[in-house]
Amino acid sequence: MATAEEKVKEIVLEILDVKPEDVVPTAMFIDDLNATSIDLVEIITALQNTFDVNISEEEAQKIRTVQDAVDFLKTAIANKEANA
Amino acid sequence: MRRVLVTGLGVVSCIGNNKEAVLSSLRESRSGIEFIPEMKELGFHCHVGGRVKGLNTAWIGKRTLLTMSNVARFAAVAASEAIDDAKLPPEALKTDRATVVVGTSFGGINQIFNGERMLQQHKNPLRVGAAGLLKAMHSTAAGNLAAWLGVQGRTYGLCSSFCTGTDAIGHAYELIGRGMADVSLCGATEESSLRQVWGCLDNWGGMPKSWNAYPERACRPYDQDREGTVLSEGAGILVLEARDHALQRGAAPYAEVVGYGSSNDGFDMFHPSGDGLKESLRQAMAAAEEHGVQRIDYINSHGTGTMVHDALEVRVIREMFGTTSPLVSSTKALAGHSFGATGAHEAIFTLLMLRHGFVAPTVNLERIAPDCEGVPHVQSIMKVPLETAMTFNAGLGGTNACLIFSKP
Repeated sequence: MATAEEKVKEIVLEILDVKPEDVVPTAMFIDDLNATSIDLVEIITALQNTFDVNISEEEAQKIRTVQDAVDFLKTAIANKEANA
Repeated sequence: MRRVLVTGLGVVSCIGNNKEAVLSSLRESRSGIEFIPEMKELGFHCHVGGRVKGLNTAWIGKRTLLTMSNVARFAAVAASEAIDDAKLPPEALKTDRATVVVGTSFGGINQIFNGERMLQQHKNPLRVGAAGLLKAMHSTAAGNLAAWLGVQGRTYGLCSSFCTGTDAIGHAYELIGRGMADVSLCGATEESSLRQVWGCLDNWGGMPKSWNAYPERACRPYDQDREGTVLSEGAGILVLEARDHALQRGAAPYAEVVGYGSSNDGFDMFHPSGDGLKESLRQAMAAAEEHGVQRIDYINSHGTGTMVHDALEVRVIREMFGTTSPLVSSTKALAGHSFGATGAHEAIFTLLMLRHGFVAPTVNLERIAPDCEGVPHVQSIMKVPLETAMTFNAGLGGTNACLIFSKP
């Protein structure tokens, strides 16, 4: 099973025109990976729909780097499993 | 009116994803109709249809694909082929003298329903994404093509049921003819709407149910055992150019567009009257006569394989042409009925036959039904030089449209 890091990278590579080596934890989606605001929403939507977790608007606004997305995903999956 | 030429074509369909593949399917009567397990699982009476298979779109690039659902992707692949085919330089499109007129009946219908489903299920708008709007709208194919290729002139789709593709080509012809553009990417595209609307046709009894074990034999236009039409998807895109524009750059045209007619029955949403179809043929013929066309060699008819429509079309052809009817065939038995794209598909099939000198037969027409007699149905492939050809469609809501092509 792919780790959260691997899965986030896969989703980012599906949506953004970037090289795999560019998708590092510290990379900022908008400043470093040239994502538009529409791309960022698409990434967040893909994360939710792939892992069947919900992200609130407030949480979504905090996702600026690849690591933010990984951290969010880990927490959301843990919460989902705890509530299952 | 300025004279207008067809200088390129591109196609994505269940009988091939480029013109060479489609040409050999037409020549060899290779059907694109197959068993579709999903239709059986969902409880349809009819279990067969045509699907686009093996289409590579990755080369288009992620940035562009982000706003494209299948309806736009099919159009993009077909447009790219048409542009290459026409040897049209990129700068010929990056101008306000270029237009995109690419229609669709249902737009990005799967995107619309996915969005609704996700929102309903999760009560969270962020589940719907942001690009979905651009994938769903009815002008998605036209808009995506313009943004991708840099087209700056009129860019829209139009929508007239099964006449969408025919009317889009006809409209582009009029824009160029009247001097409002020099070049147009025109045609139509449709993604499968199996889960949204195919069931309606099944419920009307408009799709065959006795041929599920023999998908390739299911659609039988003008045949005594016809039971209805089979549905499909895909795109057909033409490059139309003002004659001077095309000849100046040394293009090798397929044909000149010499006639276009479009009308409505003004009668009923379901049932055709025949009067509107006759009127659209009359308009196209009158225009063709002004171009000096004396005779139509071949008609690619709408020929859905439904009881009422087939008989009515034959009646209209008989009334229009009397005892001197052109050869008639329908290609829907092979390629299915791609809703809005069907007119664009059939215009392309017709242009390929015109260029290569043959008529693809109405496959599965074994015993001509008594109510479809009286026109020269083509039942096996005919190698015959064609100078002129007509294609027409008739749609729900009483729409009718007709195009006539003449060899340049």
